[in-house]
Amino acid sequence: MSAVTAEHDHDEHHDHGPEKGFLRWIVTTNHKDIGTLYLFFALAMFFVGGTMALIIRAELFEPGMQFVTPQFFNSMTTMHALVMVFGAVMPAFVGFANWLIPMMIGAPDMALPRMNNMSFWMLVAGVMMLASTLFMEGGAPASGWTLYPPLVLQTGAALPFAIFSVHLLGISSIMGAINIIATIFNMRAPKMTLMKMPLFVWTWLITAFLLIAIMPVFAGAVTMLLTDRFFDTSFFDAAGGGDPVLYQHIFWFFGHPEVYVMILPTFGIASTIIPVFARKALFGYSSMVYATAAIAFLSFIVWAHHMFTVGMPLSGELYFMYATMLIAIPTGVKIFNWTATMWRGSMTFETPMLFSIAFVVLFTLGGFTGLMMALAPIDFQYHDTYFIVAHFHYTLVPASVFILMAGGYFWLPKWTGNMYDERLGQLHFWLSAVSVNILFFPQHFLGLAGMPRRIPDYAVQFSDWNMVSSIGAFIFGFSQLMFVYIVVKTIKGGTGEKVTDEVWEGAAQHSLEWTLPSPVPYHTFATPPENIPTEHY
Amino acid sequence: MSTDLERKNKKTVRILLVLVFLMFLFAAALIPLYDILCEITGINGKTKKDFSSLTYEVDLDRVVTLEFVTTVSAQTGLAFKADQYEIKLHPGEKVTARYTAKNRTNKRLIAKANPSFTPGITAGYVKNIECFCFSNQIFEPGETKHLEVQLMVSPDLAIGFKRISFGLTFFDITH
Repeated sequence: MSAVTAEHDHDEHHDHGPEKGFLRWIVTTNHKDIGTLYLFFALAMFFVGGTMALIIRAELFEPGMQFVTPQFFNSMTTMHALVMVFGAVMPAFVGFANWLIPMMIGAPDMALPRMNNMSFWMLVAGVMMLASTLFMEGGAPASGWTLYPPLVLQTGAALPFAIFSVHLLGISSIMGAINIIATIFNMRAPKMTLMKMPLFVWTWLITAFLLIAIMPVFAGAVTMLLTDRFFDTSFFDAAGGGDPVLYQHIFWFFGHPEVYVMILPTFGIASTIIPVFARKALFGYSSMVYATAAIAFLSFIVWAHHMFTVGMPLSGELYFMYATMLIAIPTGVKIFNWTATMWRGSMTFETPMLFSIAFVVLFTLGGFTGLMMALAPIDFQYHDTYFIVAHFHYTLVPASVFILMAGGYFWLPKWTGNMYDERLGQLHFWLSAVSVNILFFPQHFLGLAGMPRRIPDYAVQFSDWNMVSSIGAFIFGFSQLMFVYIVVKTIKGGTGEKVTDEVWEGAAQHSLEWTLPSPVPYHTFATPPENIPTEHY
Repeated sequence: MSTDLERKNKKTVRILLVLVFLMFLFAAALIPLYDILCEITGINGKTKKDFSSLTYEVDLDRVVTLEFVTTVSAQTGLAFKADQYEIKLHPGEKVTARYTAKNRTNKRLIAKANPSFTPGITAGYVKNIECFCFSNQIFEPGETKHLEVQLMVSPDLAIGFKRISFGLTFFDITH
């Protein structure tokens, strides 16, 4: 690769397409192939995690025990969370990063293509190992995605497998993050200065630094769990001088930035889509960049707001309360900017835009409940109730997942050269947007009335809203099958309408990938582009 | 890919790997840091040692009840109990609690007890003047030991606290 003559380069351009046959997908180092792999894997895991969620909602449809044992129910809540976080949402954003970052900054590929391949397959190995714990003696881990000791130490044969799978997923994420940073720092087109990068690239750059900072900490924490269980250490065992609360501190030092790993690229994609359909430049580009950096920084100093009830000194509660409420400021800047971008724009409402607008509205709602829980004295009522479940699902499902859908609809025509079925896309949107609220909104009421999280059975006064929530869950779950149908149909030719290079009116003024032909050739930007779009900053 | 770019990429990767390693070390460093922080602030039931020269004026108007909790960690072959369930005392007054521990195995055991106070916030106000938990205890096979702890509750303890649990957990450090 290192010494390519001009002629050689020329040859490569014409002849070197993807490898033939199935092996292409195993050995590929092409950022587009790996992006596709990540996205399909994430979509598959979205349905695996979704099925687990439906098992949970089926059991909670009525009070009393219907379908599963309490132990299995708790395994389902744990596995649903881990699969969705590490198997679906994070890989989906890495998929978008792989596809888009090189094209957006005018680079021919990721900086470290072979490591890129390795981090994908390590992810698959990690998730498979995690899934295998479902079939082990004693069942899959059943102590929440937080894996708190001492409960998690009672896991059966699955414990070391769950921990090693977390190690694998961590290594995979760290490698992916290193790759993204190296690509962004070293491979930008000459005119692409940092403050001219599309916002999706910016948010991923910051996310990658978050990952590098937190994944080793989480790996350390679960390793200590492992030694506590098998090597007689007492990191988290009070009897031996350790402290289980220490685990909570370490976990949430990882856990809080981790939830931002899932939301920052969401912000990035939203900031990419909204200007295109508002036919305006993004309002306040540099404030968006600084707000993202501010949110990332704050995420490291607010972790104990997840543990207001552990018995902290008053000064601790006050500090974490105020620090947490600070996050509302940069987030408010973002919401304001998206709204201001749409203000007096020539808006059209294609599927990606619909999902993005729903994201702005519903994420704000999830943000407000977050602000409520940031208040330490009030949090004692909300702690460990369905109110929390409603809150983080509002920030994850109609936010991250909706934006992933929006991104799918937005770039699919570019990637495949075919247009998706707009009518079906809109139907998918409306079904999702309505059912997601039927699913999660009643959980606020349940939580405020005192229904605890992670229980398979509940008192009868919670029956009605649980039933409503479960109905919403099934509508939402089955609506997502439409997405699979639409994606497959688009890949196979879509509506038959050939899309233009910029696909969306004026998109080429916003970002480099729309200046390429549709479908995107296997190799792009072998020579960096001369000029870069100027619309977005 | 030009060699120049490869060199730049390698440098970036090296720097980032160092960052990863440092964050891993940070996670490990949290363990001692947390202990130190707890000891300084007295949170979480951890106590500072050496109060031997400490004296208070006894506050005869108030009574605080100390409850004694004894635990033996999972693989420790000791039978361990407090000789009294509780002691009522005035803040500032010095009391002695007695314990009995018996080696149930036919091996020589070295064990250490760990103190803890509940509610955790009271830890800074209960002074452990003399405790067998300050040092390792050696048990010959089958040996029974009578152990003592001298305690004092500071009169600065807020009025609301009437009962404090004092827990001791023995664990085996023989190796």
